[in-house]
Amino acid sequence: MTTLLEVKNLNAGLGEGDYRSLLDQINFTVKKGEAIAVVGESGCGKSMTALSIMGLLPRNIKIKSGEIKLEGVELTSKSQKEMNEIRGKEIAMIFQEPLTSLNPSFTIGNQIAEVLKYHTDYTAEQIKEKSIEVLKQVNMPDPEEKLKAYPHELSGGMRQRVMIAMALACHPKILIADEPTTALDVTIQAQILELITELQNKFNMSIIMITHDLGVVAETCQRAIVMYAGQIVEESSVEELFEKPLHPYTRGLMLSAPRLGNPKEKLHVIEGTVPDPDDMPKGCRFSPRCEFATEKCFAEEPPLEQVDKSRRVRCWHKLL
Amino acid sequence: MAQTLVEQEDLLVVKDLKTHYPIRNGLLGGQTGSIKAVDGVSFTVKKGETFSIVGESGCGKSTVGMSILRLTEPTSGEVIFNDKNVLEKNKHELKAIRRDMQVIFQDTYSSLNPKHTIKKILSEPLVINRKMTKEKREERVIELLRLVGLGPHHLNRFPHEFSGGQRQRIGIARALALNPKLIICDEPVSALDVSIQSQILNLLEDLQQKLKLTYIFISHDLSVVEHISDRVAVMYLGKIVEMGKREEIFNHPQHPYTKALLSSVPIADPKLKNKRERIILKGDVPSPKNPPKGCHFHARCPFKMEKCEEAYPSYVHVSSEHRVACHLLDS
Amino acid sequence: MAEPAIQIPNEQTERKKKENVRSPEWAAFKKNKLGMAALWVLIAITLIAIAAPLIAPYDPYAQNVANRMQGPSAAHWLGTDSYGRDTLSRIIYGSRTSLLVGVVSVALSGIIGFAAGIIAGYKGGKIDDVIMRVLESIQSIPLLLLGLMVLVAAGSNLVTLILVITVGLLPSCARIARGTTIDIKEKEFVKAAISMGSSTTRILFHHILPNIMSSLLVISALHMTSAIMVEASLSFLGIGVQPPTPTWGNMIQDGFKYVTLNPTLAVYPGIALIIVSVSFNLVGDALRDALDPHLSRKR
Repeated sequence: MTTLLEVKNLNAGLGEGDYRSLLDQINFTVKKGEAIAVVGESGCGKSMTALSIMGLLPRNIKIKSGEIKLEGVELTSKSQKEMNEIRGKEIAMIFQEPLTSLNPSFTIGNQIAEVLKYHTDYTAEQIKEKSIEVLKQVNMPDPEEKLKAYPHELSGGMRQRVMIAMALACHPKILIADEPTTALDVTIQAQILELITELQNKFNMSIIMITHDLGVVAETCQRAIVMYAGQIVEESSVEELFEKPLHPYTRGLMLSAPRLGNPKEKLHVIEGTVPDPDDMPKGCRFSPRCEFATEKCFAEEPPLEQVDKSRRVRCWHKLL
Repeated sequence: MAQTLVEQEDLLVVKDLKTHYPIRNGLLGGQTGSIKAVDGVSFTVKKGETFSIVGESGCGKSTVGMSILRLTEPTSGEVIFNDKNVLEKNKHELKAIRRDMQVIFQDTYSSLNPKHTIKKILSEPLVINRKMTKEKREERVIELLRLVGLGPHHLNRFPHEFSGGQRQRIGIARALALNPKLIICDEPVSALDVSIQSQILNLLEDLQQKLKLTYIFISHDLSVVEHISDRVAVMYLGKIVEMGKREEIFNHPQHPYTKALLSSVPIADPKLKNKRERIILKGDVPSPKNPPKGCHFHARCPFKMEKCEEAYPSYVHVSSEHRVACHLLDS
Repeated sequence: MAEPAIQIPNEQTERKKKENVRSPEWAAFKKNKLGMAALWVLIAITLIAIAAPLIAPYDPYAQNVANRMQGPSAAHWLGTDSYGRDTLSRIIYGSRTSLLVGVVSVALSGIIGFAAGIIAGYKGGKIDDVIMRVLESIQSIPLLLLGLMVLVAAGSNLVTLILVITVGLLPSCARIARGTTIDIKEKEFVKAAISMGSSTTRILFHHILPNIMSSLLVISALHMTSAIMVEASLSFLGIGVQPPTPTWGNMIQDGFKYVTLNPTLAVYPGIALIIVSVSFNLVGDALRDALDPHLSRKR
């Protein structure tokens, strides 16, 4: 498989003089046609990573150093105008809350047409045809009718389908899905996840699935990156990750979530809370909450080490 | 999963509870219809157990909780708590009953008054209901904080200085202040991160053991419900479609909706990925404004029969505790 | 049980945090330079109004026909008017009327209007309908027109003037109070308070009022501008505060008669009016920005 996207030593943070790091040495690649998960709790930097790739970081957050390469082309140095050409066409993104991601005062048809107008030179007729086609691809019931609907007239699941349809309109190479099902009910989540997987296979599209839910990771992705406090702590194929997590944080996450069909007497607990970016612990960032932490962990920050061909872990005491 | 303490005595009996919201329209605000948020729900909760109500958004599960407390006024039915009918009580009597029933909310930000310190928040129930000296009160407040794993150094801080998990602990402490018998937990861990969620779930279980509490646990998260419940009711569009012991609901679900719900949950085990039998429902939950005729679920049901469109199914008892409202089980 | 990770708080950062936390709104307000400047201007004008007899160089009523219509000079900084009265002294005394009318009518309308709005918002239903319909009917008449009608019918005096402005401000007071009350009422901490057995009074005073106070403050600052402007307009039209009592409104009118001879007579009180009303507006805006929940929620 060829490498499509490469993120190299990415550092980003708040402010300049009084710099506060939010992303620390993010390194990973996305291959063509694979679904990769970025997992972690709120504030771990997973959404920030996605926004850096899209060039959509909030104004007060800047990329300090590092490279983001899409098929060898550097993205971080591109202007907003040049990024507009790439966003939607090469990389598309869908968000957690489809209601706020859609403009409430335009119809669905208008909003899909907008994307097509920008990136293609279709005629009005072709745009309409294409719009109906993409709505069909996301299994939208009566797509012709839905073109005339406003976002508030659709349910949450339907709105997310529209978002996906818009994202797919120009056949992007990569789809970034930021918690796409967190705001949805379980039965609707199942529909949307199935749809995303189906489209991935159909178009041989790469997917970056950003989620906090390990269940979603296991069901939709082939590879996973676990993030904690702005760093990658573990990277592995999904099978190996669930089989044998190497980082204590990954293991903790897996044990602390109750799992359907496997009720336990007592849930595992990761003590404490995620550290504040103002007040990062010395040494390993997970050390204050880690049950295996030793002197070394409190003093020295572990590197992200390659343990075998496809696995990397940032820990002094890997759970081998 | 603290099943050891469940007694046979009923603490709460809910009979045919209905809560309809009027839809007002037009110049004079005349009623043009109603949303049947809760439409004839009956169940009992035994002392010391955790009774869960699970369902998707809009199914009426939260309204059931609010109606029991009369924070939302029910339309009809009976709520008998400790042999007293909550719905017939006047304001004064209600105040006395409510001390024994407290509530924990999902949104930890809006459930604590942002202008009050933790000390003030936790003292309030004591000021209102108990005549005690200032020293005694302070002692009790610190005791409450300790109970939920916080310390006296948190007393003079404001809610926004805490993380979501800590705020939920404070919400729990406030609910415990008056030594209630029943706590209604309305999605208490849904807004929390996984690692914090497990802390709060364990805390709730410890407190239940220690203080002999009874919980009504309202949630959309089936994994959490399976973990914490003794008995479970599954709601769909204002009605309970299936109810039973935890093992019965999770290991032998009978209603097609329950089966679909369970099979929709993504499971964190890639080995199960292609081995699970999945039922993916089509379409969305219909609006409670005008639910479909007959069985509310028939439009999405993969096993729909003719009579499903005509009549709402009555309950069929699968076992002493396990009942299901589905025509498939009629014969 | 899950033992909490007890962090030992660093005393210094702790104290720094606390100061900000006690009143994050005030801290945010202080950052707004324009708002702070306006606030200082208002404080200065209030002090001048209170201390008018001590500060004013002349008696504002003392006529001196020999010294009519003079331009600025060392003796009369802003010159004299058509009766030879000192313009500066009259502007200083005029600030008393403006602020008195503003403060009293805003306070009165606030007390009544906020109370009505809070009750309407909290109780809802019939009470809400009745209160809001009554107030909306007042609102359908523009404030200036309402003042004109009442003052022409009932005769001009300061008390009537204040009452008319008070009534005119009631609807928007009630509307703001009602809207914010409905917002807070739906919050879960209010539900929790009810389930703990709090009485309605307790909920209103302990839970609702502190949380809507900031919005009420903002609207009050903006109302000061309206009240002062309406008073000036009515006095300008000759039906507000009657001469010889100096108010900025009737001074502008007075100067207007001689606008070709000496335009500054109308300009000076006009500038005073603009400074005060703009200042109240700036303070109001600064308060709104400082209290904006979207900004203040960010720590």
